[in-house]
Amino acid sequence: LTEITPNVGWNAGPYRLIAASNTVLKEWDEFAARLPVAAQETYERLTTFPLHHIPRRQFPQKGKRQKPYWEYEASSKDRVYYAVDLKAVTVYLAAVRGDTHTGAQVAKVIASRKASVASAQDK
Amino acid sequence: MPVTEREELTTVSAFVQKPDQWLSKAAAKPVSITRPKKPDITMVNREAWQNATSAKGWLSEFSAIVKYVVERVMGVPNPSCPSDFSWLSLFDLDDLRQFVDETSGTIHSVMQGMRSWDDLDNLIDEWRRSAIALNDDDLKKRFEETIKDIRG
Repeated sequence: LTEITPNVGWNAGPYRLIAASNTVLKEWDEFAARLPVAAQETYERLTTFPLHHIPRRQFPQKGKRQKPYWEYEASSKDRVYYAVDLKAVTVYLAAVRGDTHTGAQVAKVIASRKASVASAQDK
Repeated sequence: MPVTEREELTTVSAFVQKPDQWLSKAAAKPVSITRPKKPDITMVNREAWQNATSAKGWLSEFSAIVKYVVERVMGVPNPSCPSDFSWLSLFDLDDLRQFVDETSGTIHSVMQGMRSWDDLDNLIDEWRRSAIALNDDDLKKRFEETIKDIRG
């Protein structure tokens, strides 16, 4: 668990932002280097209003297997997945994903699902 | 204007006498002009008409979704799902019930004029995007590990 420190000029809210693994820390660093403005907005948003629902932009994941995670749209292609510990006033980053929600990716998900269903039916 | 607003009836002659008055009424609620031996004409606020058109399309789609969920619950082999919603297959039955509950509640609110169709589109999009995350094995593993770390 590594706390993500704000860059100079970023405004930190009351919540601490913690990378839950070295992998997500590396993803965050890559994202912040590639899109510094979006990273600042994401940092400030998650440390200030981590549980504020904005339709399509910041919302709790649907489906009981994905609770208590939230998704934040950090850019048109980048998504941040996180969980919030209210008692500890801490936001845990689980993943920072780029290129996750493109049409091609959606088609790939659906195709793989159909293939797995067909395979199961064959058996 | 709610889609279910009751209409007010008038006649051609009454309409011709005071057209501005009837047009003002039609802006607030549907006004039907009855015509002997001809089809009646209904004047309606454009937004309400667009809502009604959206409602027709959505209810058609929603009925197909409900049929799919019922087939899943009953264990019907190869349940049929609208192609735009094939990602629903990623969710289990509890999730599907939640999906139907949320979407039907939103549709009801839209029909009452309390919410907009954009709200329903937003809700569907959040479910669709959750399905993408749900199908990501690496993300699933990360979620599990992060929860373990949080709970110590």
